[in-house]
Amino acid sequence: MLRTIRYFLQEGWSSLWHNKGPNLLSIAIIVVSLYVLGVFLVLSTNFSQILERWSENIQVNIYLEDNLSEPALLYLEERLGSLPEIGEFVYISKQEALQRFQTLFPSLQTLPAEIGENPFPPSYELNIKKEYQTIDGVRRLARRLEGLDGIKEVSYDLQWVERLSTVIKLLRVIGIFLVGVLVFSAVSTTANVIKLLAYARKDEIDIMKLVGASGWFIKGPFLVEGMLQGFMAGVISLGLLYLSYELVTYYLSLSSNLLFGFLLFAFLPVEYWLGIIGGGTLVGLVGSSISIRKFLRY
Amino acid sequence: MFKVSKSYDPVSSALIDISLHIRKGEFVFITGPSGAGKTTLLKLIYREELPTRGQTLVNRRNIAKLPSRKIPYLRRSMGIVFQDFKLLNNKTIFDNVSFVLKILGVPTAITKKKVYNMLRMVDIHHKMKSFPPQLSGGEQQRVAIARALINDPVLLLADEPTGNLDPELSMEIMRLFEEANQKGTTVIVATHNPSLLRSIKNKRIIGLDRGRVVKYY
Repeated sequence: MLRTIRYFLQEGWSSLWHNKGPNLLSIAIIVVSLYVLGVFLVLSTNFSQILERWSENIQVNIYLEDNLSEPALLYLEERLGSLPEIGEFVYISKQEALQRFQTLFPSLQTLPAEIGENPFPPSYELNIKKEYQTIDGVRRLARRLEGLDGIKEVSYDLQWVERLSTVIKLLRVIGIFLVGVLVFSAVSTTANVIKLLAYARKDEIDIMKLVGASGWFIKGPFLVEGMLQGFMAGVISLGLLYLSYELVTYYLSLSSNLLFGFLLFAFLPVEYWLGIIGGGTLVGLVGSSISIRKFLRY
Repeated sequence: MFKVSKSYDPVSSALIDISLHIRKGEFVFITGPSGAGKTTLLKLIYREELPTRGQTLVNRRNIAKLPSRKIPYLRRSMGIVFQDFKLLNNKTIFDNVSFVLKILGVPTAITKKKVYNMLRMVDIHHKMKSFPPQLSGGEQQRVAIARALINDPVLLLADEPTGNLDPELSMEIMRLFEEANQKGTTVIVATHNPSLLRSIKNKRIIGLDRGRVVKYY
């Protein structure tokens, strides 16, 4: 068995080396597919991490009706305490809310006096427990809170989180589609290259069949050649991806735009590297096995 | 073979109603002019073709019913020598012959010894690192015979093995076949060269003409 595998590796590598032109074409096409996949993965993983961090800081504010009685407030606090999603909560009185406004917007300090009343309602600031910090979880909580007596309005700032979530979903859909198209073209290119190489060696294949070589024995070196194409493409695309990542982060670090600098802070984790290289190898294997089959009919 | 016919098109038949029996250890010549059906007959034996009608039994197995995945195993029990040698031009003489043992998974040390001895037997060992295009026709045919005999086949098929060779070389090739036959290999040689028939003492002759058996002794 080991002898046979060594034979496959030797013959596959030899063919790859002696037919550089067509093999390089195949490798190039697989590199493009994997590079595009890698770009989408980098963007997707980083955006997902940002989304996770933003979701951790979701704060829910509930604005109360004016002049709620003490017993009503106590009852409300009891209800809030019983909800599993809510961790700590802080009561902000009308006066405290006014003071916060005047601190944040000093130029508008006299506005309430001009209106003739304090327009700010009392409220509670609710901290949501980590395990419930999801968009759907917060929405469900908000609906429940709206049903409680004494609550005028429930506010939660999920706008950016929802937008980013939509961007990530869109990225994934576009990514899957684009990568799907590219992988298909990579598989067909590999299949056609291996088919060309097999045609060039058709006499050799026929002779091997005549002296008793099994289908697998003939197919093995071609499959190895396809896998080597894919493996090399995987390594090259990963290298190009890393280079691009370094270049982009370098230029973004020079930029004064903090948002862009904030976006790309991590390259792909190691398991993704293996996935890209493994994916490339698989593309090469699939392409070569599709094309070599027709040469093995007895 | 029992009532075997082979047609490639509805109009003409390559073989018509062939019935013959070749016993283990025999040396048989299949003779006849070009187009008689000699090559087709051999192709049926090594399952390169399927008969249109009739049965071909090798070692009491109907090889027409053999599934495709078992054909390599049938061919491993045979050695086949072709008129055009059919050597792998991008491999050395040594690798051409050792390829058969590689398929069988024979360890490298044993392969080296067996191949060297076989090449010495056919007197081509001094050129074992050469490639087929660097050899003469006679030398290439000797390599082809070495490859055919390396795995001690029970059956050796040769299709016009001396077709491209001069008379002296042809006799040399026939001597190698006779040696293999004396060791127990059944040998079937297809040829239109009548002078070859005289080179082997104990032989049978099956004559074909236009797809039919016309001589059988």
